[in-house]
Amino acid sequence: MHPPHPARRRKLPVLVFDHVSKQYGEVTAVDDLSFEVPEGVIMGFLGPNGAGKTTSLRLVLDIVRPSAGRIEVLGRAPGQGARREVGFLPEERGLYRRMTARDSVIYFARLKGIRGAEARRAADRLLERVGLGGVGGRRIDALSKGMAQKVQLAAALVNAPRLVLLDEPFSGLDPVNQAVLEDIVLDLARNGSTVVFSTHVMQHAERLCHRLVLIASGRKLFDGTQDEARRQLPGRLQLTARGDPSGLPGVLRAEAEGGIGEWSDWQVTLAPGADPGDLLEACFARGLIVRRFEPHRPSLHDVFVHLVNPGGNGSGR
Amino acid sequence: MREVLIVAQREYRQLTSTRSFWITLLAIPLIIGFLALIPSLYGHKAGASAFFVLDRTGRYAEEIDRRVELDYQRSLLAGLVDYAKHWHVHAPPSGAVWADRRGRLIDDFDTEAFMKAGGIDAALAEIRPLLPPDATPFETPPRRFIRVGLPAGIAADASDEAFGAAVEKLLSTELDTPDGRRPFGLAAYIPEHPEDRSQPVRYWTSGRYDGGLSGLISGVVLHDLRARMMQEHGIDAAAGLAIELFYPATRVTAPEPGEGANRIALRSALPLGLAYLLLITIIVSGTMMLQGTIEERSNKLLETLLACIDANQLLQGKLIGVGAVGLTIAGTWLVFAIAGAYAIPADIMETLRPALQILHSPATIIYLAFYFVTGYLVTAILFLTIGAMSDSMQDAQGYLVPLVFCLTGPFLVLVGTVVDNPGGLLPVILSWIPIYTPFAMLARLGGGVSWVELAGTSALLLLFVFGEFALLGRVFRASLLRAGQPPKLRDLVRLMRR
Repeated sequence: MHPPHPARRRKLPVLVFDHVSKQYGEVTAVDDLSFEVPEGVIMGFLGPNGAGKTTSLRLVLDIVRPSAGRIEVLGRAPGQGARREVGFLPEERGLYRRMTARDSVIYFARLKGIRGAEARRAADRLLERVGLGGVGGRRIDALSKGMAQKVQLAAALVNAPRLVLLDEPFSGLDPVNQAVLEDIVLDLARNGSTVVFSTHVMQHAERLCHRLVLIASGRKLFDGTQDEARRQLPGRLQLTARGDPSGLPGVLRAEAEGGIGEWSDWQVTLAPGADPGDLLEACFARGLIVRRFEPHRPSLHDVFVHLVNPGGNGSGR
Repeated sequence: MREVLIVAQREYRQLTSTRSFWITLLAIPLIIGFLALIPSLYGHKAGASAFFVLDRTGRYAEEIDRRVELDYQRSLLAGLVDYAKHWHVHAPPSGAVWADRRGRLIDDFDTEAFMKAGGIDAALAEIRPLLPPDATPFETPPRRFIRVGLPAGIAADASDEAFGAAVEKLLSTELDTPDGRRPFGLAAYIPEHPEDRSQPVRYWTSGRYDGGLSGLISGVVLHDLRARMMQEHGIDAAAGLAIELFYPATRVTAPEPGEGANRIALRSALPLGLAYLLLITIIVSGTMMLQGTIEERSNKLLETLLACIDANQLLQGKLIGVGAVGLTIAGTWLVFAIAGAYAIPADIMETLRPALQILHSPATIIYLAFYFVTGYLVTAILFLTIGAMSDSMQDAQGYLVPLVFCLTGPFLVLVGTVVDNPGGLLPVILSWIPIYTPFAMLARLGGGVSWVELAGTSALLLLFVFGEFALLGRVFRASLLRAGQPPKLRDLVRLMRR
């Protein structure tokens, strides 16, 4: 199930990474990274721990400066001007413990250039939206961790940002609040905001993202749509037939997995670019009697494991 | 700039909402006020004390009363002289003993002349027409000693031992006098033959209210015994006593309060007070600022902040916010000090007036403000950087202890030396070390500093502040999102070079 893609809108890049690198002494956190994020999309920024996702997001916000390359945020260089149109939820969350939830959101609204009364209205609206309308007057240290995270989300969105950066936004949230957050992300995209979020949980990316950028060790491994990502993996299917499908066109490998009587079960790996439908047609054409034909659609998890760890044995699940 | 002020406003609100801020703000003035109150409580109790004398000779009671009265009249005359001087009564009737004496000491002859001329009532009648309209009435000083009869239970022929045993029970009591009950001050026992050195004149005091009374009584006995000895040796006792009591008129020329020897000390009082205030304010507000930054680090909210503003804006906002807290503390203490000054009696205020003369020069006021602000900046940046490098107060202690030691050590030495010699080697050296310049120059301003030194140290200080802001600003920025152990000294140097 794919999220509705804003295909009819002209997609100007709101974020451009152009051969960007970031060195910390001897360590290369981001290595010659290039990608673009078109306006209005939800982009998943994926990668294993230490891949450089957080550094990349800090580069967007001008918290750190690139060692090489160029970054463009909403058509300009990162900095004060761009920040006002960006909302950011960091991975490590925190607020002033003695401030109330409402004052926290108002404070960040004001830092983003929103004036007093408007900031107060926006804070009330956002707190209501994340389900905290009744606790605006409570201090942060009196809220649960999940509630505080939602206050921080409200603070990140209070300036109605054109570009929203969410660093591991689902971590620490219970399933109900994860669903609330997914709704908010979809709403943002529907209202024209561009959302970039990093995550380890591929199910969220699968449900939300129009595009994906996968990085590891600071380098880009993949940039494209979910379908394009899935095509990175060889096609697989399970076949129960009276005969051996190994020689059929498009079959890279066929491994027998047992069977009953004259019927054999096969795990078939397709050659790159081969279509399962063509294989089914070839089965009929060659007279191979087929009782079960189940193409396997690779998950993003499979793609992730395959791309990040191509020699590993974790793919296929 | 708007973002900087928003950060400053938040810092200010958070810090001023803490309990420690209010304790700091109010505790010191209240403690000082309480300490100032203690002497006045003492003074009230010490108004007059009661004494009695067992005179086994029967010769001295009258003379003791006369000397006590003379002592009181002398205090009236002294008070009157100060009163006339305070209200600038420059045209006294010729020969008035209370007129401006130009340092001439008041002796017994003056006092007797004062009494002969009608005493306090006559003198006040003379002065009154010459006083300015706003003059306050003369406050008659209270008597210090009131003689009472022997308390019940003490026989007029008691031995010194029996007398002493009875007096022991009265040391902490009050005695009935014509002016009501007064604390016991002294009991004197004059033996039958005081000329016999085996029979000493003895005194019992409570240790609190003697005030020279024993010396006065001894003087009476001494003069009598000497007169007798003269007589025995065929010397005219009256002439001998006159010779003995003769006292040459003496005039002491000493600087007026706030002049001469006291001038530097008094003129340095305000700048030194400001330097001290600066030191306390910096340490108090610097520690608050440090805690705030550590909280931001440990609460992981720096990244959220830095997504809205850059590190320089955060640094500036914090400096302004905590600076405002420091100024609030300093300003409140100044208000307390001014309020306290109004409560000080006019004559003491007159003495302190030279301390405020330094404020008559606009240039000096500008310099006071300049050194206060730069002094704050120089050290506040250090506190802020320590906060940015530390994950906890425990981490911060490693830097904080040496810093506070470096700040306070030379300052305490400076205060001790600057009043004696503002141009001495140590104050001058400290003036040229930027981290101490504000303290040293504030402390020296009262004693007078050359323009060359003022301009030179100020220029160096400004350069240092800018350099410090640039170098430590880098450490601050680099440290904000750092994880792991606090940086070591060599790491700091590396961060400054970035």
